[in-house]
Amino acid sequence: MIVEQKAENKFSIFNSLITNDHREFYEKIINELIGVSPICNQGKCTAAAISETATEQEQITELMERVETFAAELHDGTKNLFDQFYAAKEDFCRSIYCTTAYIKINLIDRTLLERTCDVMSWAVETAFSEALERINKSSRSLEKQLFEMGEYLDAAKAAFEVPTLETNWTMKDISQYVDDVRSYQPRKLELMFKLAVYQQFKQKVDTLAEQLGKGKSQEATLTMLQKVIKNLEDVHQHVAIACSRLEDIGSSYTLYRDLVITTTDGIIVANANAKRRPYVLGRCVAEEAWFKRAQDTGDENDYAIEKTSRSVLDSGDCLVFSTAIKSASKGDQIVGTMGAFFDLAEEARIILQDYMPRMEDGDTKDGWYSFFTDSDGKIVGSSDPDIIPVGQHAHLPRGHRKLTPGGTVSSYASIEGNDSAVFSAMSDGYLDYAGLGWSSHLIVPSNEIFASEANCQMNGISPDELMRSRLIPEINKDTYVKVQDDKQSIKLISLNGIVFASKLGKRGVALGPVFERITETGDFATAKMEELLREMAFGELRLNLQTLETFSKQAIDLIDRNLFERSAAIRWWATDKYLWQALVDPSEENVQAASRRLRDVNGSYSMYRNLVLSNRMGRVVAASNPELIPDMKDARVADHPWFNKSMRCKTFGEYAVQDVGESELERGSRRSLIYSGAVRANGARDGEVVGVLGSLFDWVTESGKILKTCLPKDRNGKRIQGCIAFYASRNFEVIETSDAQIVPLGTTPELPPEHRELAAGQSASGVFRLGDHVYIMGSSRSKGYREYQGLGWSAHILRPLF
Amino acid sequence: MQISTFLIRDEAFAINSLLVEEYFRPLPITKVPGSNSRIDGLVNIRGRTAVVINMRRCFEIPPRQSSDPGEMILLETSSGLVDEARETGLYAFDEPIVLNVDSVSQIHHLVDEEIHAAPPHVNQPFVDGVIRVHDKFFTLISIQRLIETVLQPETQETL
Repeated sequence: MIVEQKAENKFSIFNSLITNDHREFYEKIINELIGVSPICNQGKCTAAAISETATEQEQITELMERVETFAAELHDGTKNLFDQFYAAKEDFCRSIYCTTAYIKINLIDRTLLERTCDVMSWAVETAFSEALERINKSSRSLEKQLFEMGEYLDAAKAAFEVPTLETNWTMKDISQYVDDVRSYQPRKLELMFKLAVYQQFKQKVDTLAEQLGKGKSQEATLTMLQKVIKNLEDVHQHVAIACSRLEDIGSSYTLYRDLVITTTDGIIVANANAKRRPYVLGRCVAEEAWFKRAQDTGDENDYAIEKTSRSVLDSGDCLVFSTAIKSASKGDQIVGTMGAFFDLAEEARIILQDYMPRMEDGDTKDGWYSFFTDSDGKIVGSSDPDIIPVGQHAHLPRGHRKLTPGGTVSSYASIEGNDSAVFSAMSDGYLDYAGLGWSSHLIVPSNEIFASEANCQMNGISPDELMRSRLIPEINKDTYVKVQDDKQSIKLISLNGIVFASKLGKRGVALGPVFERITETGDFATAKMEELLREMAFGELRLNLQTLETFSKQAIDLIDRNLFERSAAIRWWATDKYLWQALVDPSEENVQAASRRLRDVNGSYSMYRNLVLSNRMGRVVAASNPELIPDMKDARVADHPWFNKSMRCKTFGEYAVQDVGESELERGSRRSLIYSGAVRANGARDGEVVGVLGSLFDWVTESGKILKTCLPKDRNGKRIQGCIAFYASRNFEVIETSDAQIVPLGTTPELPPEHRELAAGQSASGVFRLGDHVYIMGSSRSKGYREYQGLGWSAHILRPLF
Repeated sequence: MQISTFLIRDEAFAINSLLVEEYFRPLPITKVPGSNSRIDGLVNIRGRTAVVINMRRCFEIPPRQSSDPGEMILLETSSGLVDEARETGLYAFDEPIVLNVDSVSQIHHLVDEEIHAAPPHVNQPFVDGVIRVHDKFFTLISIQRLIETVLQPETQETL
């Protein structure tokens, strides 16, 4: 196990992890060194034979003994070096891959935190509670009305059964019409929620009414039927309102399969997904866990999360975020529930397939797997479901199944017949979201961890420069110095030996080859060791570059996801009733209501500086934080890009962005990123644009926070000195930086071409010289998130070499 | 004849191997006030005091980086010369002398015809000629003239 690497766990050529390259390497060195002893013996014998004095013989023998000592030291040194080599790789891989596993679960946690906010803020919209209350009321009265309708119809039918001159000839037909209408009596739910059924019913009633109108004394029945129709009309109208509102939300937040509203009995009365609507409305979810738990959610800040794969909604693997909907008028009375079906399968797919090495055709490399398990150890998402199937228990070593929150572990195991290293990290939630107790696992083939780096080349840095850099651990540097030292010692011993022999004249000739052989062996062994050290250094460099790529990718992913949420939020808010009301009829009362609404909305988020509502002329009408706007009374935004872009938006659900920069809406020269959405008259999808809502994202604080989390840490989790993280805009201008001294805001650093010419979602890494500083740098370009395209930004993480 | 070669910057030099007593790692040098700039100072080799001649200075090459200590060659004294050396008339100083060089390299066996006269543009008085071994060239140093130039400048002047 990697985790249990101890001092006594020394290099052994029999360890299965040792690569064949290294075995050969080791054998060669050892063979050479083993050859030293016989040579030295030969040297000592020769000395005895040729020496004329005891001093001469002693001198030669002493030289030979020094050579033997060195050979033994080199032998130990080689083993030590291999030890360091493998330990360093294990160490580094543990750190980078455990971090990767953690980044994945952390991405899920961050997403889920946003989702909990979603369902809670949607559930308090009065449109839903009002609709539910009306539907509940209508539903109760319908119960009675449908029963009464039966009686009236029976009576009507009976009246026709008394043969009279005027009715006799129609009786049979009437009876059929009455029976037709009567057959709908037990189909209350269908009548309420299935538009087609309701329309058929209405048609039947109309036909019957026409017939009844011809008869006498049928007024009461007709009135009765009209009541039922009117009631049903009302239900359908409110279902339509609720559905339309859910659709508005659903089209802003595409990461949900569906959003539903249910009554307290678990009857679905509205949903967001129009395609699924005919199958979904009127269905009962009373037996589903998310619904049961939603009913128990107490106050406004309470929600439930349930994983489901078998809902009547037929939604696949989803996480359902649910909460109770309360009456707007009667305080705490629960009138229904809301369930948001988060598309877990898709989200897991996006995250799990990311941060994995790919082959040329774009597929993930074989032997690499990434998956999530829930608290029971069952797989909830997999990068390759054919091999790691979702829903089953993961075959993992015990240690990986009993992690503690935030904990990581790594070990070797055979996964699907591959010798693999397994890296796991458990969720510790994010901010006030506790997480679901899930773990993230990353499987890497062991031979890839210890792959030979012998032919590694790196542009922009020499092996010597690399060896002296801060990347190389002290212990390896010490070994490097020691090898250089040994190399010198062997050289000097041999040369002295040769000089000594040459002075013996003809007698010394026999010693010549001995020293030559020693020189060769020494040179070979030390050269090999240097080669291994260089390989180690390049391995260290490669892994460091990989780490920086991972961190830069995390930095751009986090910002993309964050901005995705912003783009979703602005689309939703722009449809808010209070906003369009204030724009259509800017009475004092309406404007104040809009201001209040903006303040409430902003109050539940921490990442907005301000929400600003402007009318179509570009005059600011209301704001969540008017005190932050210089000259609020006369504030105009007519020439602001965000306003103009949104005024030009053609279709419903569009949003616009104004890239990071200074804005007149901010005091001083504070930079902000502004998202905007058009507000349409009456909230209608084809409504006229009556104004624009702009949200001033607190770019400086939020991006600064993210950059900080993406700065590299050492193996003990301490931040590495001198590292820099920055975001660059589409034009490579620095828009946020963790070190304004070296990479100042607003500048355009000379990035190497491979870091500039990145395609969306691509990463690169290499040596980067900035002024007098030499860094290694990892860069990643935004690829957006779901339908959010990203702004073409890139993230760059720098680590100093010296 | 055998020559011992060494490097100063990236130029290769050679001296007769019979004049080498020992190669060793650099020892701490004690500076001697007032001595001329081509002398680094004194070192103590197993109880013997030797004068250190800085070869970079002798060839007017800028000093090495301070992190690179170089290597040292202890020359034979006149009393330590082997018979063969005396017979060929090799010169050695009475006192121990150390050459401070960048690094010692190899020992080569030579035949006489590989020694050529120094090219006319070389005006260093202690260059004896140029040696070619395969495709490499070495500047052969005359220890006698080196020592005369560095340690006994007044002798030089009288000549």
